[in-house]
Amino acid sequence: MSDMTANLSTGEVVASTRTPASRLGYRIGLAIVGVAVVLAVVGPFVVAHDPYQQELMNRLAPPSGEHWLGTDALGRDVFSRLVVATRVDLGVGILGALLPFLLGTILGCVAAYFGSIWDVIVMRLTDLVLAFPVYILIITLIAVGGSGIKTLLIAFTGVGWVGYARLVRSVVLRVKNEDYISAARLGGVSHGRIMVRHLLPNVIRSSLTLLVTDVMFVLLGLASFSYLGLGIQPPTPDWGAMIADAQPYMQQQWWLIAAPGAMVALVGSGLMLIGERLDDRTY
Amino acid sequence: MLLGVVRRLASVVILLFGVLAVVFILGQRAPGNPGRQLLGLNAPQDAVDALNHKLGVDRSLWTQFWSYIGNILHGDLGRSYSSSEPVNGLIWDRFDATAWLLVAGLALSLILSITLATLAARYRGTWIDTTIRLFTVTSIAVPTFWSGLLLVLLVALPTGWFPVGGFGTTTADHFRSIVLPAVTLAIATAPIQVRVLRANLLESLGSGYVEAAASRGVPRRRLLTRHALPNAAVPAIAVVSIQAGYLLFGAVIVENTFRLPGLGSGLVTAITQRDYPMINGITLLFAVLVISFSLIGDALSAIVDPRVRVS
Repeated sequence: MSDMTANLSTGEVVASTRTPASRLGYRIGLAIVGVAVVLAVVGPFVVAHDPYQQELMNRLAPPSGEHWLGTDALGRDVFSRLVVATRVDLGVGILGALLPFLLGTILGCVAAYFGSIWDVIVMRLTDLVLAFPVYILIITLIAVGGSGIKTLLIAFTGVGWVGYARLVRSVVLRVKNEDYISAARLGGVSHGRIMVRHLLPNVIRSSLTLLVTDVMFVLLGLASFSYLGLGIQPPTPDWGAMIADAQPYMQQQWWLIAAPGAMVALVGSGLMLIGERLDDRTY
Repeated sequence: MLLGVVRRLASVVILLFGVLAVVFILGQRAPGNPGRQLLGLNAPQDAVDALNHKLGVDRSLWTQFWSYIGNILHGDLGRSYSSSEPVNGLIWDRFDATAWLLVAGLALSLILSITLATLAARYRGTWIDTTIRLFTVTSIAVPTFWSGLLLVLLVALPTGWFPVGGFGTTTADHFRSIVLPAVTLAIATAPIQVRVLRANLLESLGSGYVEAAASRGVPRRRLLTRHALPNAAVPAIAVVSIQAGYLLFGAVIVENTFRLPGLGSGLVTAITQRDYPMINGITLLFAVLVISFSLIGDALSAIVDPRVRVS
């Protein structure tokens, strides 16, 4: 019962922070991410140019009616590459956040529900990952596994599940002794069904908040590693690598770095604005 | 308290050992063999075998691991595959630029975040607070290398005050070269600090002792700077020390963007050249830096807040 009032009281605090500004931010965030998702899904079918087609006679052309953002150092249409990169980057971003979400939720739930040795193992594992310098671990993994999407996904999953596991565990520990769980157990409901249908709904909202901001962090990490030449490999279009490729020409062709960077910043900010609104905490 | 310190140091030793083991195992999984790497593709096989024997990489993994640990304890990180120079010297040459960047970046980031958080807490709920909050939410999503390049485009190139890249040779050069990279690093790390510091400031401002001080007639500005800020410092120190890994990753990116000859750009070069002794050395040094950050953080918290010492 005390939990109920605590929830109610935080509910009131939440209501008071929902200012018109934050509501506007949430809608802007939704709009940006919505447009990005549409671009990712239909973009590659509707762009006017093949993003891989090189026109070496027409290198570094300025923006025109034909090439909206000009062409890059190999004469490829930058606008088409920008659009197709949305599918690559957002896709990897979502996958790179979903995998740790699934792994962490399962491990956290199992640890808290069965307790004893399961709990000890999972918690020690999270301690280990938390104590490790995370980005250095990812760089080491790339150094060994080679650059590329697969290594990055493994690295993000190996590091990212910890947050979900801790979150899910804390909530499950709180509610697993509630009467309705005992009642379900007495009624012969299986452990698996109890976890999925009775325990996990309690934690889904905070997990989703973490998931949304995680997509942003993976997207940002992906762009950064690709910029360093350690992420997505050419010729696949990607925002980070596009910026790295354009850096030598930035003094004349500034739009070549401005446009892809703006895409990362826009989509990332959109995700942050959504995550902010989902966030129960008041600060 | 002594027991706590001993425990903390013991866990650091175990963690360092873990880092060493992981770096070693990952190095073993790497393709190619060191003799071939050092001598090149055209070297005769018996020369490669001889060198491998001399390097000791044909021994069992277990022996190799212990001699690797032994070498590191003696301060020997091996020789780089790409230049055949000792890794120690190569790292030392690159240490300066990274140290400048980290110190300047961290200082700027603290100045920025303390100012913004205090402003946001002082004017809570007004447009100032909303603007700062919006800034912290959206600027987290801005890629570090992109804000660095924008600074080059919008500040360095038009004004000519700062170099576009490089570190220069004299101390004056270093000062000029480090300004934009440090600003970039500060923009990358400040937002999270602002969020935590603001939340803690608001919490302290709402607590009993601040109310009591307010009822004694202590002016609002003094309440904030003398009563609330010191109490918000401990969680803020914790955040900065947790951020250490993120700060180093930021340094890796910034060094590449501004072509600073530091450890971060050295690491990326080493990875693209598959120069494992160099990768191992820099990774190890980074791990030590991150762990020292968290130790310094703990020590600072204990100095600032007597309650930490008890627990």
